[in-house]
Amino acid sequence: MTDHLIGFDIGGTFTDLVLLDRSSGEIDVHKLLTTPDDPARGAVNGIVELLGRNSLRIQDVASIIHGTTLVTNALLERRGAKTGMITTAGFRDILEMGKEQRYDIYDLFLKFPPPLVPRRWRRGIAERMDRSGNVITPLDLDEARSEIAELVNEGVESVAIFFLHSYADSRHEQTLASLMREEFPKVSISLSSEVAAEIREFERVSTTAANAYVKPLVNRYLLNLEEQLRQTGFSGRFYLMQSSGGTISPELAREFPIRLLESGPAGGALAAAYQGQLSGKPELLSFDMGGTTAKACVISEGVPLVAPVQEAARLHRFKKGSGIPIKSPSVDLIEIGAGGGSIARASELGLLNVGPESAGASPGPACYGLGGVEPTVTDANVVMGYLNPDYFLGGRIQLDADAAEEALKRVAIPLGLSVIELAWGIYTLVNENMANAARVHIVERGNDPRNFSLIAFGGAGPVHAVQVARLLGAPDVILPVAAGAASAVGFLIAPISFDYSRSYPATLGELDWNRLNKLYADLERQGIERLKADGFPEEKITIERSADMRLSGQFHEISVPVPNGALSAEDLPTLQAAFINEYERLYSHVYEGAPVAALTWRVKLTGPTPPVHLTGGEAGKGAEARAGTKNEDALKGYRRCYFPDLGGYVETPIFDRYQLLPGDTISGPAIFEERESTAVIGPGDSVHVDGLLNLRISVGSSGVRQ
Amino acid sequence: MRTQEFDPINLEIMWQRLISIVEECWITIWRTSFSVVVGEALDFGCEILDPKGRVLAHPWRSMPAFNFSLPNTLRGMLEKYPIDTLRPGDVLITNDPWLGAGHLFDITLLTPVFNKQGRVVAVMGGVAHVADIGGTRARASTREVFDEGLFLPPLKLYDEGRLNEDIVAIIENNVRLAPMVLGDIHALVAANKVGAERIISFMTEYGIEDLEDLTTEVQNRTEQATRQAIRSIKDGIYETKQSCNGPDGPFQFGLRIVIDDDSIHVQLFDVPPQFGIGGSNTTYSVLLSEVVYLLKCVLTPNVPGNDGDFRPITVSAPEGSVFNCRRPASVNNRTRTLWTIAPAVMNAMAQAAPERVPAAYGFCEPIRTYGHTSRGAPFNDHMFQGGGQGASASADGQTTMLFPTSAGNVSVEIFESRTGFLIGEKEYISDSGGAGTYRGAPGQRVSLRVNPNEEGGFYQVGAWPIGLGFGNDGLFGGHAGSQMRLLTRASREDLLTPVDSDGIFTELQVGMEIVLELPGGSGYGDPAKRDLSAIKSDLAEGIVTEKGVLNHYGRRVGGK
Repeated sequence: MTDHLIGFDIGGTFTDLVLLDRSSGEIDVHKLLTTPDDPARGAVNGIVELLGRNSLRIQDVASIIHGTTLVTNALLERRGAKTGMITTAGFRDILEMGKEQRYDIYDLFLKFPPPLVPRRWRRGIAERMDRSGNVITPLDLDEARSEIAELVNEGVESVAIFFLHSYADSRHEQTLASLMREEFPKVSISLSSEVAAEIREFERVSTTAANAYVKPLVNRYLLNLEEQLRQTGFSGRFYLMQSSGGTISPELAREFPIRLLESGPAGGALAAAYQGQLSGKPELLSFDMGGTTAKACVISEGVPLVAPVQEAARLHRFKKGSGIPIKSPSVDLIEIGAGGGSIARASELGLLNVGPESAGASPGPACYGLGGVEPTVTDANVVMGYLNPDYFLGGRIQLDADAAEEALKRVAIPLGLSVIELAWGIYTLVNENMANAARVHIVERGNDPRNFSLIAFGGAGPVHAVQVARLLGAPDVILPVAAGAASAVGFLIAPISFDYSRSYPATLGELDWNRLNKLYADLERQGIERLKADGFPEEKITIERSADMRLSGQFHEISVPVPNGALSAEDLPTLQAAFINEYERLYSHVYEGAPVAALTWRVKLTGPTPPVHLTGGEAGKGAEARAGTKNEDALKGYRRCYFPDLGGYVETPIFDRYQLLPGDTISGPAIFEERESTAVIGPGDSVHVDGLLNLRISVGSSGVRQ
Repeated sequence: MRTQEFDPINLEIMWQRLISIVEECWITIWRTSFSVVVGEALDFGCEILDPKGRVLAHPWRSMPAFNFSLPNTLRGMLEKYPIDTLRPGDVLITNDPWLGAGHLFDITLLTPVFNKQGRVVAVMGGVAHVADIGGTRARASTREVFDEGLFLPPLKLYDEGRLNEDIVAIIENNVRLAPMVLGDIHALVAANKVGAERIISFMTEYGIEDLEDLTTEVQNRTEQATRQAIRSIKDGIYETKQSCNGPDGPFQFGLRIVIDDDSIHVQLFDVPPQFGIGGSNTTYSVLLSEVVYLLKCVLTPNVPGNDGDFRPITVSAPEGSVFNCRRPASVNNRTRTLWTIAPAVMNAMAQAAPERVPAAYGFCEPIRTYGHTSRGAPFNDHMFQGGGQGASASADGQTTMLFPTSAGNVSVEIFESRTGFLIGEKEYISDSGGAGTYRGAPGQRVSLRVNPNEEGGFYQVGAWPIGLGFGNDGLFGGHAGSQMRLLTRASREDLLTPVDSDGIFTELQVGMEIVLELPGGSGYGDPAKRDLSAIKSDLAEGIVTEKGVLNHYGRRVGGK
C-alpha cells in the first residue's frame, strides 16, 4: 500500500520528519537531532524510526520530499567550491562592485560580503553582444579554452559563465558551455542565461556565481542522500523543495541548486496557506518567531506571495543591500531581528532598544542559566509569568526566573524603570518592531493588514502573535497544531513546478509578437519536457504566465498576468488593463504620461497538486481521554501573569493544549502550554478550538495603546 | 496645554514608527520614478519636518545632501507662504539652489500635513534630482544661474488640491524629455501624500492632536547625544588644506574645525571669490547640509538623523566665495567643489579622532548623455559610478562605492538598453588604491562609445569630473589614491589622450571613445608597515602589480 508520503526538513539543529497517510489524512511528526557530519544519515535513520513506529515498510512510501538549509548555510559559512568565472572582457569586476551603493548613509566603514569568486579566478575573454543580440565582438574560444585550463590547473572545480546581454541572446554562453562539456567534462558549469536570464548584470552574475559556488556541494550531497535512500529499499519518487513553493527532481536541483535557497521557509509558507484554506482564511500573514528572528510572509487568495529576488548571506542580517542578491523566485519573506533571544539594551539616547542582537542558543537568555547576563525577550516573558519555568520545551530546559529578573535589573535601573515595567516594555517594543515591519511589508504589496488573519508558528510565535495582530488591526489569529514541523508538512502539499524567465524589454505597443511567442514556446517546451521526464502527462501540467512590467522609463517592475497560448496584437488591451489594474492596486493611480513596457517574461509550469487532507495530529490524541467532559479538565492550574489592563499581575488559568477538544471556548486572559510553545491571550481576547484542534483566537481591541 | 510625557519605551516605539512611515515614502519614490538618476542611481531623498522647518525623521538610505538641506528649503518656502496660510491639498514646489541642495536639478516638493482641527502638524518633504531642467547642456560654459535652465521660486503646484496647470505648462515647455521630469515630480507628490496619510493615522491611533511634544523630545535627545559625542573628542583647532577644481585648474582652500566642549565650528578660509563661469559654485544651504552630514557620520552614526544633529554645529564660509556664493552665480556643476568638503572634513577630524575617520574615498562621477537612438528613441541618462573606498585604521578599502552621496551606480545593460551606447569596460584599475598599512580600494575605468549598430542617432556626452589634476592625501603616512582622469580618442586605432581642459562636452560619432578613470581610495598608515601576506594577496588578485609594489611599498615581491 504505497499511499504514504514523507517530508523532511534538515535544519541546523533539528531534522523534522512528517509522515502522511494519504488514505486517512493522518500525520505523524518526528523530530531528531541533525547529524552535521553526514546529515543524510540522521534523516534516513529518522525515516526508518518513523516507519517502524507506524508499522510501515519503506515500500509503503510513494514519495519523499526534502527541504534543506544546505545552500543558505554554504553561502553564509563560505563552504562552497573553488569557483571560477569566464566573463566578457572588461567586466570581470561587476560581481565585486555590485551596486556601489552605501546601504547605510552614516556608516563610513561599511563592508559588503567578499565575492564568491576571487578576482584571480575571474577571467575576461574577447566576446560581446549588444542589447539586441548583435555580435559586436565574436567569441574567442581559444582564449576561453586557455583561461579555463589555467583555472582548472589552480584547482577550480566549478565555473560560472557570464556574458553581457546573454538574457537577449545566449549563443556565446551556450557555445562555450559545449566546449567545456567536451574538453573539461569534470568541471561543473553554470550559465547566466540559464540560471537567471534577466537584464541587470549584477543581479544575474551574482546569482550565477552563487549557483556555481554551491553546485558541486549540492551534487555530492544529493548523490549521497539518494544512495542512502536506495539502500533502505526506497524505490518511490524523491523531490526537493524549492524557494518558490514548488518541488523539483534531484536532477534539476543539481543543475540549479540556488533554487533551494529558501526551501524550509517555502514549506512553512505552504503549510500556513494550507491551514488557512482549511480554516476558510485565504488572506493570511504567516508569522514565525524563533530564537533570533521573526519571519513573516503574505498569503493572498490562499497562495504565498513569491518575489523574484532575495538577498542571501547578509553581512548585517537586517540591513537591505548588505547581502548577495539572488534572482530566483522565492516566497516573499521579511526577516525581522526579533526573537526570544533578542537582547534589550539602553540606547545612547536613553531609550529602550530590543534586538536585533540576539543571545542565540549560547549563552542564550539569562534564564537558561548558561552564562547569559543581558536581558532578553524570553527573560521578560518569564518575569511576566507568560512562560512556565518548569515546562519550557516540555520541561527539557529548567528556566531560572531569578536570573531573568537579575538580568532585567541591569537595564531597568539606568532607564529609571521597575523590573516589571521593563519586562512589559520589552514585550511591547518587540511586538511593535514586528508589527511595524509586517505592516510595511503588507502595505507595500498593496494589501491592508486589517483584512488579514495571523497564523503563528515557531517557539516564540504564539507568545507574541495576538499582540502583534492587535497592533496590525488584524481581527483573528490561528495557532495550528503540529506547528513545530510546519515546513516538513508544507513539503507534502507542494506541487512539482519549475519557473522560467527571460528578459525581452519592449513597450507593449512595440512588441514583436513573433519573438514573444517564440520566447514562450521555447520556455514552455523545456518545462513540459522536464515535467514529462518526471512522469507527469502533458495534460496535467498547468502553465501560468506573467510579466514584469512598468511604465516606460521606470525602474521598478510589477508582476502582471499574461494570457496563455499564441499572443497577438489583439491581446494588447488585455495586457494593458492587467497592468493598470495591478498598478492602481499598488500605487493608487497611474501616471498618464508614459506607455506600458515589459521587461522580463515569466512562466511557471506546475504538476498536479498532491491530494492531501490533514486531520489533527498529536494535539487530538490526549483529548480523546476526556471526550464528553468539560474544558476545566484541560486546566492545569493558575499562575500569576502580568496584564497591565487588569492592573498588574493576576491569577491566570493555564491550559494543557493537548487536552483541548473541538468546540472548547475560553476567554482571556489565559495561557495555553504545549511542548514546543506557549500561547498567550489577553483580557478581551477569546479562544475557540476548531474541528482540526487549531486554536482560533478572536482578537479584542483593548489595550492597543494604554 | 499639558505637555505629553514620554517614557523610554513609548518614545522609542513612536519614533521608530515615524521612521517606518518615511521609509515607505522612500520606497514609493523609488518604485514610481522615471529617470535613471532617480530610479536607478537613487539620487533622491525624503523626510518628515516639523511646522517650523526642522527635521523630524528621514530614511536610512535617503540622499544626505537632501536630508540636511530640506529644512532650509522649507523655511524659505514658509517666508513666502506662512504656515497658517496653508490649506489642506496644498503642495509647494521650488528648485531654488540657495534654498535647497545647490543646483536647479534638485526639485523639492513639500506637502503640509493637517490634523482634524485643521492645524499643520508636520510637513512631508521630497527632493529628486530630475534628469533635465532646461538651459544649456554645456555645463562648464554657464556664467549665471539664468543660463542653467528653469528656476522655480517657491510656488504652489497644488492649491487646495487643484493642480496649477500653468506651472506644468511652463515645465513642459522648458525641459527636455518633459514626461520623464513630470513623472519624477509626480512620484514625489505621491510619496508625500502617502506620508501625510500615515502620519494622520499614527496620530489617530495614539489619540494625539499634534506632534509637538514628540518632536521636541526626539530632537532634544538627539542633540544631547550629539553633544555627548563631541565631548568625547579632544578640544582643539584642527586644520587642513584641500585641493579643488575651478575653471582655471585646481586650487586650494583651508578648512578649520574648532571643537569646544560640546560644540563644533567649521570654518572655511582662503576660499576664492565665486567663479564667474563654469557652475562650480556651492551655495551655503548645501554646504551646511554636507558638513552636518559628514560630522554626523563621525559622531552619531547609529542615531536617526533630525534637527538635533544641527544644533551643536555652526559652519561659516566667506560670503560671495566659492563655498557661499551669491545669486545669480552659476551652480550647475556644484559637486566639483561641494564633494571636496568630504575629504577636507575627514582629514581635519582625523587629527582629533584618528580611529573614527577613514582616509579619503575616491570621488564618484557621472557621464551625462543625451540624444536619441537611430530608431529615434530619446534618452537623457547618467552613467554613474564610484571611486575606491578609503582605508581605515583597521581595514583596507573594500571596493568602489559612491561617496559622499548615497547614490548607486547604473546597470551597464540598463544603460545600454535605454541609450544605444556601448560601455567598453567597467573594471578596477591596478595600483590605483592609495598605499598604506591599510590600502585604499581600487578605482575603476569606464569607457563609452556609440554602438556601431546604432549609427545615425544623436549622441551627446558631457563630463566635468571632480578631482582632475590632484589626489587626496592619505592619513598618517598613507598615500593618495590615483587621480581622476578623463581620456578620449577619435577612433580605436588612436591612442587615448587625456582631455586637456576641465571636462568634455561633445557629440560622439561612431568610433570615438571616452574613458573615465575614477580615483582609488587613499591609504591609512605607513605603507612600510603593511603585512607582506596582504601585499602578496593583492598581487595574486591583480589589485597591485609587481611594479606598483616596488613603487608604492618599496618592496620586491616574487612573481606568482
